Amino acid sequence: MIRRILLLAAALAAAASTVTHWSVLVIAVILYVTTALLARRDRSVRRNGDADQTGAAIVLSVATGIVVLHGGASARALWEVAIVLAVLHGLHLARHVLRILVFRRWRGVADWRNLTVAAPVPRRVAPVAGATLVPIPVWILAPIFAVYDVDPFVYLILGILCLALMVLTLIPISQALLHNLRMPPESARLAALTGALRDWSPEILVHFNARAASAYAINDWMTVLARLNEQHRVVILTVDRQPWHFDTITETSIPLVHLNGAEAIERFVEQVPSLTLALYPRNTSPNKNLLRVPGLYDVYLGHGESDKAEAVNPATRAFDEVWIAGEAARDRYLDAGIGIRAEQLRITGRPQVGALLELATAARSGERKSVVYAPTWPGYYAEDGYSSVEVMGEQVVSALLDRDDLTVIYVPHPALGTLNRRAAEASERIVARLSRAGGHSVVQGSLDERYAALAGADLLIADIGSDLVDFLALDRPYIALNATGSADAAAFAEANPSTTAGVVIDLDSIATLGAVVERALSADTHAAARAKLGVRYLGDRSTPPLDRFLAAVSLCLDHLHATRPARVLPPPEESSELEEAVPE
Amino acid sequence: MDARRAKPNAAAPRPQRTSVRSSVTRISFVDLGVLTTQVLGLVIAAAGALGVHPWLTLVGSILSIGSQIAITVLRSPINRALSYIGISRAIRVLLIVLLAVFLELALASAAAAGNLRHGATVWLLPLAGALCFLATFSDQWRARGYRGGGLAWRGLGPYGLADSTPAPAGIVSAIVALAPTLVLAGGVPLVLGINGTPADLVVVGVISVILGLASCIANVVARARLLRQGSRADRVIRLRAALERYSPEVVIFFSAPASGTYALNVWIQTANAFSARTLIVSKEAGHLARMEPTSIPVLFASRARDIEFLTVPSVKVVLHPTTANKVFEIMRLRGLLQVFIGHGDSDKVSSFNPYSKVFDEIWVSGPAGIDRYMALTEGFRREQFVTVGRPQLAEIATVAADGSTEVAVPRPTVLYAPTWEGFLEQSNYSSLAHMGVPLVRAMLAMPNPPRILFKPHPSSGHRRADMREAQDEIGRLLEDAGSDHQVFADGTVSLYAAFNSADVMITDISSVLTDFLASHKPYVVTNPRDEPLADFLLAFPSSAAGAIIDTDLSSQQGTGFIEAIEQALEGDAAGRAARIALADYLLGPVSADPVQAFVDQVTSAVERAKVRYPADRIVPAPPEIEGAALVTTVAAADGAEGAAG
Repeated sequence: MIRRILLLAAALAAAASTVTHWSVLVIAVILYVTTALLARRDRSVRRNGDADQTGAAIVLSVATGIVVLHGGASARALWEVAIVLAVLHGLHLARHVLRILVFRRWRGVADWRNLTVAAPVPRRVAPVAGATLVPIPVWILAPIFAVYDVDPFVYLILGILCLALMVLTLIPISQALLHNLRMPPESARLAALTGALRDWSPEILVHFNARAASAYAINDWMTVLARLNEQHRVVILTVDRQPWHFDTITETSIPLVHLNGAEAIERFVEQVPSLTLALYPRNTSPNKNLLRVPGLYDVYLGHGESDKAEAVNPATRAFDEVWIAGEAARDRYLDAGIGIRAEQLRITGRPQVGALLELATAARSGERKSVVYAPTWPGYYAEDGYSSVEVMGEQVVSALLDRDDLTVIYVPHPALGTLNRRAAEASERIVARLSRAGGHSVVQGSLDERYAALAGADLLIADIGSDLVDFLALDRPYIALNATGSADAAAFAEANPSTTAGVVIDLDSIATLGAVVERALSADTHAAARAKLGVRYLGDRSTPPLDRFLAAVSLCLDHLHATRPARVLPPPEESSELEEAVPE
Repeated sequence: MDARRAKPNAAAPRPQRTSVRSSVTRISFVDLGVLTTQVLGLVIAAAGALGVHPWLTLVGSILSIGSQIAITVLRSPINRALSYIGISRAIRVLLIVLLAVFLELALASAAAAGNLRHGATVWLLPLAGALCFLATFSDQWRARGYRGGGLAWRGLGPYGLADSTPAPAGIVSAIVALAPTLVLAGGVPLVLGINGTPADLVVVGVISVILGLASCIANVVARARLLRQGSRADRVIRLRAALERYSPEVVIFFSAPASGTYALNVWIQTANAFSARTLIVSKEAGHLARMEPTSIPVLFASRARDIEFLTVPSVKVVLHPTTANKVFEIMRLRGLLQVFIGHGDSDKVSSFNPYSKVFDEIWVSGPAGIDRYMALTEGFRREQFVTVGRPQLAEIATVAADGSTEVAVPRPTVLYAPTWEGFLEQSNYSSLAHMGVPLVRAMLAMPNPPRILFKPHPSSGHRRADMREAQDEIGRLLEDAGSDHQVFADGTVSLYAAFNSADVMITDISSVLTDFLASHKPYVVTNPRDEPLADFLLAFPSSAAGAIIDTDLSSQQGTGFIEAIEQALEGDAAGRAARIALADYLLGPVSADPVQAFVDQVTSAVERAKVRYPADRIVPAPPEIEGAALVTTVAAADGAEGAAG
């Protein structure tokens, strides 16, 4: 809205200056460029898309009106101006309405990938920032040229160009709309989808819901799920009208299904009776729509083993079981006294860590020692205040850069940089410093990339989080950062046992980090404690962690098949009125 | 109480699907009419301007602005719908100014064009046009200020926090905001129409500018007053302090779609009697306005983080009337005894789902509730359940063995209270369409006909026309029969008052039947699909202590309808023990004061919670003021999240 006022001010400025068509032209171009730039930066502008540009266009028309008033014009020219403006506004509005229709239809219905289903998937029109603004300069210029009695031929060309551009942008939208409207009714599409899945009879449903920045939570499981898919057939279910889901999931051959609303989810599960086990990599409120459906065995996987308080959360009681990496997690759950019972906990190891171990066997590079600094992110809740990036990050990097014999690898949490602006800025400063210093690197990417960085590290400096725990598998020294603001070292160690096999640095002792790093790199004094801790946190690794996990899943499925009656397909519905949305 | 009937209540034989459809306001024909008028007004104004007919333009402007006023007064959803596609109120104002003023002037005759050259108008009219836009825009901006950043509260006055400012209706200010536009877009064509002088045009411009300025200033002042409440973070801190002073022990945590406020309202009367200090937390702003009056402090907090900060350490027990997704936001907090209390209808299958095992305790009316959960074989444990009766049924008068009741019924009376047809044909258990008329005729034909009370479900006829026809026909029959038969139309008499004025009820499978059991009075249940008796009894245990009547008014139990009614009117002493046993099973044991029994249960839950979680809960400090660094739009859009690792 502020932008609209700016636009209006610009229009008035145009009137207030000694108006020529050139000054208005300059203002129009400036407006166009600013709007396009704003659209690139600002989420809300991107979301509102054309809506905002309708306002901009009308405001620009006011400017034209003022110019016209000021300069005077022949009645004929004004007629032409009026008609051109009306047609352009009409087309522009039509375009916006079509886009909304495409989007509404698209986001309201089921979607899928990697499946052969005898029904089409909805098509969507990807928003392109600034694309909707293309005709605006022409739009504003045409009437001005008309007023100033430019050669009619120039005017004609401009008009045609302008209309052509508008019509061009309408083509893909209309196609998508037609496609989406021609799709069979939603019940039929859902029936086709569930029919295809029944033929394939998947056993495991992985429920996933997140904003784009948290897609790592499922992507970290992708390698494991791919192996699981070979044995048990897996479907990944994303929910809740979040258009980015399929785009953010790592390339995979596992079927992806997107459903909207509790009713569709319930029907889906009912119609695919082979589904037995539901796995949840995140503990979020939308999980409830699947948890409430009877007939599935619900298992919380989480997406990383750590001491974070959020990892033990009473909402976890909604799951039948919680699969955890090791003894440490079991004690954490049971000691928290949140109502999770011992029989709900099953130790399945941390399957991902196998990949880390494989990477680590490859030779470490050269004589330069490398240190990884891996801060976590500030999280959603005040309780998640584990991130060091804002309060200690720059000091950590300074201490490391002060020594010129180290390669620093900065591995921020995948979601660091979102939600909390100050943390994002601190992280950006660190990245900038490292790039200025040269010879260091930044890794904010997939689990594989993070693991590659960890595998090459001689020393890890990390916050409470799964990087710290995963690093225990490598049996190399680490320094843990206490960013919680608590100066009580004993209480911190008790709440975060994963830090006890390394040195803990807090806000008071951060100045000593240089010396601590020096000691850690020269003499490894925590080796024995670390080995014990590694087993407690990541489980016994005598069998490869991935194999151990797969065996646990198979065991669980066998047990479920043996003890629970197989679900059967309910008889077809009596009436077809089911799909009718009756208003209340 | 009647709100309970206004929902789909036919107890279907298998779990119903959740109805998660939001109550989208439908656009009515009136709305469409107003919209058409507005578009027509714009078209007429444009035609008037293009055709140099100022009077036509004047008519167009007035039509268009008049319809905008109608949209505001009627609170029509058109405003929102048009904003959604990018044509907000302010933009529409600009459009009319553009057409009725600038295009009109630009195309005006040569004489009028002379006016354009008048120095003052060239500046004044664009300025007025801009102020027309700004007046409307600033009105929208002021209205947004009342949303309070997703925080609202009341009832914390004694604890040092005055109620948050509720949004005013805003109709007057919205119309005032249109005044400069009306003057400008009406005045300019008028001046042209009467061949006025440049001075006339200046007068129009000046009036419009003054009105526009006044409206803008008023809106800015109003919004500035809201600023005195402080920033959002500041208000969270003051709320926290007030809540710590109040130190509630019990939180009623409520989240439901807009149409679901009844689920909270069924508890308000009971909650008013709680002896434990209680706070109602709503996750949606709209419930505050639709809630029944209460002296309990009420808080609306939109963000999950608010729940983290504002669930102060004194809170021990959380009562949940629903299992909405947002339950997660408080469920994730440690050290709270989380209790599912449902919304009164323990007989409803839709609220039975595996998710409920997340609660520490599930409070059910009677043993039937426990059996129903345990039958799900979804990991529920018996120790999770507590039977608490149904405090909502306190109003229902119970009949004693000698036939006396707390509320006397003057002469033999039968209440016919059929359910409605449901959203889906498969959950249609209504007897009204096919059995209603024959039932009433049969009773009227009895040698000594009872007084008949007819209370159709308020939603009857929503989907099927034959329901409406039957309802009208019964109304006519009862009217013709004269004497003191009565039809209770919507809302005139509460359901429980109707129970109390009858000796016997004829009803369908629905929550009405379960509630009626509390009266221990005899009842007759319809079997509109003529299902075999054994299946029917198995699917609907609440029917077991009544006579069950098929569509031809016979009964598979042997006695016909008339015999059943006669027997019931005599009190059916033989069936009394079965009725009481069934009521105890479904609704919990009868206590002298079911509200007090529930209140005591809440108090003892607080004690249980203190034993179970002896340590003080650690509640993080509220955000610092400058902690507004949180990118709020993303956090709000994201919903509750929990993450490990």
